[in-house]
Amino acid sequence: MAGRPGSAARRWLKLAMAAAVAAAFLVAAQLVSPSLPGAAGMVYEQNCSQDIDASALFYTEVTDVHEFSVTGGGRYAIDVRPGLKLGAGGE
Amino acid sequence: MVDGNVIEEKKSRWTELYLKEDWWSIWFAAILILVVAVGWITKVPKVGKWTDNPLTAFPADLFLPLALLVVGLGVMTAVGVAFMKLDVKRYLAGYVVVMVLAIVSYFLANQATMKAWGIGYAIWALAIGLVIANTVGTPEWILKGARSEMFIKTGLVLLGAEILFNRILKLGGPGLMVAWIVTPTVIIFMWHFGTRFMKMTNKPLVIIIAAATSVCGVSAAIATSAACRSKKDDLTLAVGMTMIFTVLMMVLMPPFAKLIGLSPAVAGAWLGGTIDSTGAVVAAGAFLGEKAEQVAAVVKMIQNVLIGLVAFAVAVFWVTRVDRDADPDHKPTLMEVWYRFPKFILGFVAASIVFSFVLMPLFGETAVDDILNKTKVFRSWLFCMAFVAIGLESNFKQLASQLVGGKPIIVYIVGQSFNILLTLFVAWLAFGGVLFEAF
Repeated sequence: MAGRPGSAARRWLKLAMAAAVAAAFLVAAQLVSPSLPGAAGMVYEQNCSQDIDASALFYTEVTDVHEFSVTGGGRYAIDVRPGLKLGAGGE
Repeated sequence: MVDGNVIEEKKSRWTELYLKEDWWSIWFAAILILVVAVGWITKVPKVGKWTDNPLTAFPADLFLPLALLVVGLGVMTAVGVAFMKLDVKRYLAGYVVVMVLAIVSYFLANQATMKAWGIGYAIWALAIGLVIANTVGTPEWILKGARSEMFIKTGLVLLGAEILFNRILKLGGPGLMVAWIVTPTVIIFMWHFGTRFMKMTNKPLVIIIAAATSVCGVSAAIATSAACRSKKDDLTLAVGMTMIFTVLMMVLMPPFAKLIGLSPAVAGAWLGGTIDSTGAVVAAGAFLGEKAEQVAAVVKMIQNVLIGLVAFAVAVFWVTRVDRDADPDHKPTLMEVWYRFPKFILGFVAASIVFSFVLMPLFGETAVDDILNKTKVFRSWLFCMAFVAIGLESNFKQLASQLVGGKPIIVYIVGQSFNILLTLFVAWLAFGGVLFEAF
């Protein structure tokens, strides 16, 4: 076992405490986030309202250059729209 | 696995094609792409999003596809495990636990507030694994299924398919300038700063932090760690730091861009070139409006393409320079370089080339997108399992020992600061009307 020393009961108690902390973190974040002041609150509101998934491993969702949707259930893609004038290669 | 390294180091023979994990990662990815391409798999299941009611994450019609996913991936990888002459029964027993923990990680990451803050499955998977390993301990039989390297390498080959070169051409010069000038500059700066100025002896950790900072966070960290045969603790540390700073930058940079009066295009390019995670880039860009959001996402996308090139360059640099420096009297032959080169990177590059220059022209964009939309989900599951496995194999004490003196954090902060300033300057040149027409 790649674990820590100590009695089995104590180790399981630690695991239960970690699970409780995770649950408390989820509940606290859910309760506190909507009332956060300043930029943090605004970013949170915006991410929620547009269903933006800020997951750190989400990058490959951006490989589609023909659609752009921040409301598509967290799926991102890019539409290089004519109005954007993205330089010589842009559409 | 050797001494907790991400890549094994042995001599090559033809039998390696069916005996070695590197090659099996290529075969696994090829199988997944094939079954999707021929239409045998029409949908890959994902855990649902939920806000207050956890049950909404698991609608009734999700259970069968999820069970099939667990069984399917298990059978496929077990075949490889059998060829590699490992204990299949014990692998499968451990694999099921890892997969269940991966589902739990997705469940937690898909809570609406967690999604909004970018606390994604990678951090949950690592945390769950770490907590188990450092409280009750990870039983040996679970460790047999926690084959993090196998999951990572297979996921990376699938990732290669998603890097489509022809799409880069559509994105224009300014974006290329911001993404492709700053990225290598920052990597080289951080490498020299970490190894020479800070005198960090853990060179893999330096290059992983540099790649994560300059390219795209977690994905780049994973690819680079495999390319340089780092220890798993190095990857855990780099991912942890990246994710914490990503959230901070996502919140702090947009208001700052507004405060200093950057135009939407310059601000978007700045955010896209600096914030590590693409999701966070889109979120931060959206704060400044539609144009900033689009420019930010485009710049990030161009930058993301560099993952493969960076991983390839790091692998070559490692076998030809870093390993040689460790034994200055020995100059490796070309064959030795080949022996030690992480072969799965060939799969990564091959997948990218095949999808960009063969499948795209043959079948068209819609068909290729359809395949990739499914392989992406497989790839995410594999990365998630990899992070669970890494956590299960990690030890808090070992992790803490990496932070002695705070050198990795200093390298990250100094490198990221340099990245932020340089990107701001280049974004102004490219998108501010100096070198190109103003946006």
